[in-house]
Amino acid sequence: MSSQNFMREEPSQAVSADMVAVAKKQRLQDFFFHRITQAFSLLVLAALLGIIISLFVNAWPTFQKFGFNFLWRVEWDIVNAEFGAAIAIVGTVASAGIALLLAVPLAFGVAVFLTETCPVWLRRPLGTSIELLAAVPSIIYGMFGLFVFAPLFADYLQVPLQKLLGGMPLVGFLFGGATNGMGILAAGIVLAFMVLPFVAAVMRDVFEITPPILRESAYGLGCTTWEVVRKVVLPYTQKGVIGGIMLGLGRALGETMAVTFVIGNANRMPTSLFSPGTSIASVLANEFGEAADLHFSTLFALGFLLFVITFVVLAMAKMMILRAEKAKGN
Amino acid sequence: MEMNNQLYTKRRITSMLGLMFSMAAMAVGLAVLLWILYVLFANGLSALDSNLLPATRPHPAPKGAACATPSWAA
Repeated sequence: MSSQNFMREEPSQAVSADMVAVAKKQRLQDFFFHRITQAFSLLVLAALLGIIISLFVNAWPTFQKFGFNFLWRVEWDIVNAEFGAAIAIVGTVASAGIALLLAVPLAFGVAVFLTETCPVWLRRPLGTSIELLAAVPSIIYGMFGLFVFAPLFADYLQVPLQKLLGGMPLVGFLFGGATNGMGILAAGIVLAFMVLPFVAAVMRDVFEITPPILRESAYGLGCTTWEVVRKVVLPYTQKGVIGGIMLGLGRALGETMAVTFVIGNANRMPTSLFSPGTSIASVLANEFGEAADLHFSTLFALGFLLFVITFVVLAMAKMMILRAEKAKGN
Repeated sequence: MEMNNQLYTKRRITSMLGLMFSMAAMAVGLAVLLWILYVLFANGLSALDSNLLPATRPHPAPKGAACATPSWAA
């Protein structure tokens, strides 16, 4: 009882007034800090909204003229102002899809090697080397693709593949067409090398955060290295792995220069993996300088579609992660 | 309890194949990096000379003309 009274009566009025003043000051600082950080995050949102609105406003004449048909029209006639996005969408999705098909297994292999089997002294130099691939500018990939990779690809891969598989039923049509080294497949392969370091770096980082106790427990139970990766590391890091893949997909969908150099830039629907095609980003890069009126608006419409495709892909990835977590019971 | 040798061998082979795949993936990644760097340095360094940086682009106009005729105005 006496100690309670002591606690209640001892602090002087002056001290408590100081404390109130400090608390008031801190509350004010917190308030401004909160508002300023909120303003910064809203600024990002405002910039995003501004980009969407400006894309949509500039694209409106095209959407007004062609409506939803714009998505599956294949015409690209600048003189008669007839446009469609189907060829560019197919080229974008196909090249990005091929790139991911090649890059994801390779990136997984690289990440497994760097985290599980690589000698410790070699991990850093090899990891840095793979990250160095990400530092190569995309135009260098494009130049490399056009001047070095495409001729070799034509002579040593396209021709033999066409001879071997071109006559096969069901899949033969995929390997038809001219074998000049450029086309959807060449663009996909160059893109795969481009996105490989991004996906591999994310996978390696998330593999490294797997708690050692989980790994060691699995090894203790007699699991092989591959079983530890497949049954412990991969399920634990599923979210990060999907995030890394989506990062790669986002880059592949929006990549411009590397694709523009090797995709062939032909405004016709690709009929095989060797066919030249075009992508949304390469159409924008090739034609924006000379565009006017409806052509200009159409390029904005393509940009808007690229934005929507990327958004849908990322939303699907997020949904996949949520569904996987729900299935796990988290 | 008797050990299932067949299952053990299968698991070991699977693990070995997986690890071989990961090493091959690493080798492919490094090979691509070295290939790009080799091409870049071999072609780039051989083309470097002291005139490269101060050099200006030649005038696009044909001889005698004041300026080039743009393709859209021809």
